[in-house]
Amino acid sequence: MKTLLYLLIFIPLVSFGQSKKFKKDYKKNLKSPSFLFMTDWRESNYGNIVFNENVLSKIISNSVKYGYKLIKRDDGQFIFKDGIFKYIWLEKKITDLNYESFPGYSIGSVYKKFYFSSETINDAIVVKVETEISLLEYANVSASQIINYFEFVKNFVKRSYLERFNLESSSQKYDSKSMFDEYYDLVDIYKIWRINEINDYKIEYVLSIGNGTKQIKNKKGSYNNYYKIVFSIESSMTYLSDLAYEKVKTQSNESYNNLRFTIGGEDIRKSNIYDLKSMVNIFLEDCKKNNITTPLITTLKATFEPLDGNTIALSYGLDNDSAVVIKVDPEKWANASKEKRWYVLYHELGHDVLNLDHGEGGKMMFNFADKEYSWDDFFEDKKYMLNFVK
Amino acid sequence: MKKLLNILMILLSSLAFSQFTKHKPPNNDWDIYPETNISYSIGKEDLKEILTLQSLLAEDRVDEMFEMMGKFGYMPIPNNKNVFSKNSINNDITENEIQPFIFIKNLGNNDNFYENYLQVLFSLTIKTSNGIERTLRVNYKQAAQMYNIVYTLFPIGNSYNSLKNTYNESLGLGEGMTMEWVDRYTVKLSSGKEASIYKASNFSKLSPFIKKKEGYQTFVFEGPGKAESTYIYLKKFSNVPEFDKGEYSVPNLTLMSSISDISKTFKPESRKPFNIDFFMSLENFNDRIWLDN
Repeated sequence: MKTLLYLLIFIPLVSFGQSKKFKKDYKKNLKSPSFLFMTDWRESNYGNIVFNENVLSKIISNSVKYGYKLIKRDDGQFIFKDGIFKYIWLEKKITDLNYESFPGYSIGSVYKKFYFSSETINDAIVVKVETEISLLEYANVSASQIINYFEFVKNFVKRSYLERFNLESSSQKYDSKSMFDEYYDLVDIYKIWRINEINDYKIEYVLSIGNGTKQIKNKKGSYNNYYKIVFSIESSMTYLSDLAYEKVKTQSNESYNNLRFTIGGEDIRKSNIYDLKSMVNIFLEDCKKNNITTPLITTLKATFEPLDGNTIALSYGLDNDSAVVIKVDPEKWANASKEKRWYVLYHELGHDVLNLDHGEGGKMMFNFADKEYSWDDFFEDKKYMLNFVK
Repeated sequence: MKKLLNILMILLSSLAFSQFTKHKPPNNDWDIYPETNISYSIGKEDLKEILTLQSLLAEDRVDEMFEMMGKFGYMPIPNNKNVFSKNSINNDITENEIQPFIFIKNLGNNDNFYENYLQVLFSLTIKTSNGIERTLRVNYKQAAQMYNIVYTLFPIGNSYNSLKNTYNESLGLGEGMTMEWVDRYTVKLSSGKEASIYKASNFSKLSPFIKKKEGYQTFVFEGPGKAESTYIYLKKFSNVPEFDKGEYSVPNLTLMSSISDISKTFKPESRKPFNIDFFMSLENFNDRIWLDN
């Protein structure tokens, strides 16, 4: 009972203390132009970024003051394309003692993407701003320092918008795609709106705030954590077209895979990997599909037989154009992944049918099956090998 | 007199009746549909793009094919496997225009054609209560007009090889007939004041010795790349409606690239891979006769 009483007194003190600290930090950061730029405070307060004309060039020139630089493409241009919109990408390295509001001795980066419609910077109308901050946990900066700082930034952004907008709905999204095609753990999505006082027009936005982590291997071989937060503001129309585009992209990938995996009308992921002859026939079909004329095969012998050492399969028909003779070790075959089985078989048939030696036809014809292969490895190396023969 | 009057009455009423019950034959073009002026403003460009995609498919250059699809503005149709259309996202479409829908299909294991091929349905953009939409079912007039537009996209002529092998010294000319090669790709046959001109084209009609696909107009495109040639099957326009409510299907094209010739002497290794930039840079389909190496 006494403990409960202590707790009842203690909890409000803690929460009151937190809220007081937040307010203090909030006020302090309102005086930092760099922090306000990073958190798009001008948008939440004045609504002068999204759907405004002639802002992108000002943003680019202001960004330099706060230590950002434009990321450029390989050809030197700095306008990127993503789906139906273009974007510019700003990067700021948090090193060189420019810690500003970040925890002291922080190492990390801030990335800001400004999505826009139209062709040029001058005509650009910004439709979405996305920011990612990542900080490294290491000896000088602990995980709790980073987490506390990120919590503050997230609350700052959330409060900036929710003070001026009405909340329509909120939801959570797991495993959403990050700026770098990785995934954020969790993203809170707030649908917000307000009425424009000038023209009574309803402005609807989607505010997303989320976080994630990434492990990187250090020089000592152990791992460090990169903590990340992301926040973005976009019109609900852009959000919907983003979703539609994402769906289209997924469908495109499905079609792409459908064509890649189908050989001789059969999806090789679904083929019977214990029917070696049919697998050899698929290889012959693939040669045909790749404009390679293979000799007429009169002898096709593909059998399971134990082989010495680590050898999974061996070919015996090199330089005998009319015969394909392949032996496969049953135990190692059973233990190999589907991708590896296809990789190994293509290697052996590279010898047998295409008369290639080790060192000819790229990685697929390397002496050893030296790793676990992915389907991408298989398709990439197969393409090189078949192009070598063409 | 009364009898005559009765006969006249019966005759008149039967005439009138027959007028009202005159059966509408399926091919009769009653003017119940408004005249529409259908256009295909980028038909030639679309066909060039379609031939590029088919040529890349025939060389199994799937990565490049998808890259080009994106560049040409094709987007997958949601919830449809391997179906693509142009301008799906920004919906930049105008009324009464022809727009292609591309289906990527697989023929399976066979010795004559490369297994992946394209089927193209030429849709029509129409005004509906939801705005401008694409339709694959049109009325008789629209179908006939669209078929003619698509048919005339192909500059059909003579295959360069057959022109060269036919019109040479060994050709037995009739009395008073002369033969003159006007340029490398044009031959003129004259008899008195009458003259016929034969031109080489990359598009020709199927040889009479090859079995034709029932219900289709077949053209052969002898173009660049490793495929021996590309067979283009345009579904013939039929006067009979294909759907309920008297609706007709839009023009339907199937493109299949052949692996070898009839004698099986052609080897894909003898040809260079399809050069996308060069092909796309040509203004007209016959600016380069591909069989003339």
